[in-house]
Amino acid sequence: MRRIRIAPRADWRERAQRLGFAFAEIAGEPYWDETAYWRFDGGEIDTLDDATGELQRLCLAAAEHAVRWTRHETLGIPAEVWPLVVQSWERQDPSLYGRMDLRWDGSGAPKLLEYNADTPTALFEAAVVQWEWLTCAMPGQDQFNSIHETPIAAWRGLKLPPTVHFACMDGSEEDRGTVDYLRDTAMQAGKQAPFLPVGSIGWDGRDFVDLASRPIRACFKLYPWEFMLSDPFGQHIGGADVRWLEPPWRLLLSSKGLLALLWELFPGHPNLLPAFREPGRTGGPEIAKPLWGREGANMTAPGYSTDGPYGESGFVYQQWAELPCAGGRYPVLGSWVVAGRACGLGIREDDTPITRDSSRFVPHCFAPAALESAR
Amino acid sequence: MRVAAQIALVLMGGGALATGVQLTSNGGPACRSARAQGDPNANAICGASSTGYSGHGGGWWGRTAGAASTSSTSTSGWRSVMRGGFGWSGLHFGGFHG
Repeated sequence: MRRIRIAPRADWRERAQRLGFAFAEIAGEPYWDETAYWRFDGGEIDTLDDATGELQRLCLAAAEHAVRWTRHETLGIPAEVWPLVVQSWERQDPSLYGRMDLRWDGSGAPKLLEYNADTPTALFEAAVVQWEWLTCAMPGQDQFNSIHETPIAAWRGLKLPPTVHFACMDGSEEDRGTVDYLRDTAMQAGKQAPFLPVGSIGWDGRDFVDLASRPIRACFKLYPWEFMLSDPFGQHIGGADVRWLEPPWRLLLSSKGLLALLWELFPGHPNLLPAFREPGRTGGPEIAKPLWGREGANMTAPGYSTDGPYGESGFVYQQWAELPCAGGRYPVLGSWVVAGRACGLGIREDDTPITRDSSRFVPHCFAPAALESAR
Repeated sequence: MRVAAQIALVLMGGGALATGVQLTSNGGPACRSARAQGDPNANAICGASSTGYSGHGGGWWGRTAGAASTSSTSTSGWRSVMRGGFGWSGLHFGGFHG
């Protein structure tokens, strides 16, 4: 894998606008960055594909273990919430998507940094925008990307009611863009997909209801479970007849305590880094990650620390594996899982080894097999 | 190794159609092997498990809310509807993406 600098397309802003990509720039700073791209070969893409599938298998095994042995303390899930999680797992509530963040430099095995299993973003740019870039800027090249068609196919198999409500916080173009894109895929799968702000969800004493006071029976929420359950309406979730996406059992995977549980269950696995709930056990430098932290907040690593509001949630301590650096940028590989299967790649880069909300999205490609064999 | 597909958008970009052929490589070892060997069932093998969900195969919670009350009430039929009971933590914590 190599980072290659390239001149951006002169009309990239207009193209982004035509696609409905409203957050190509965020707060005046570029988010979509096509001044460079990452080039892989087919074998490297296969490695990422296989690693993601293997990690998905490990994560589900860890979830099963957690439920069977009541490991909520390791995961930092409060006891009063645990029954909701267990019921969701035992019902096999369907999940739509997640994104594993991997550390890899093209050699050895990709390592799991964390699993964004509840409210992953950077979906639209991975599925559509970088593909549009590929067809325009890199015709004839290939891309690890079936992120668009896989959710459309998945919606049809999730056994949801005909109407799925979609909700997120008001005021974030990125959130709304992600939700609208998923609405797009649901509509293509034949679903009714009305939107409402998460703060506009109503409670009538029996059901959660939309703005027309119709019962909500299925709801995609780009709003974390730990927030849902902390909010005043959290008390009603257990008794309401709603199919949530992502479902409550995804708390088992979105907690960074998962990293410690994985290492306990699969010590030495090539796709894992040593991780513990206590500091000083990895045998070397460590990064401290809040169990429920997001966007790189409240991290402490050798030479780096970030602030944020998540410092009270408890920590997991993972062996420090600094991201590779190329061109002064540190890439993290976001490997998408839809309906349980690896289906594509999105890369974000930061100018520090800790990926944050200010990181930029950089496209990728790889040489089709026919081109590789001709070389 | 490839699945040809077109990306169509019905909502984003005002219902834009992004034309072209998407060349993808994915699907796991069985899919890749089937395609590499020219298996006539490759598409079925690669697509089969993507069309349905087949099962599964802290202390800080509550800090922002708990005592908070909902912000609005209306009436639908004989039942009153309270709103504003979600979103409190999002306002408190700000960005929260994975």
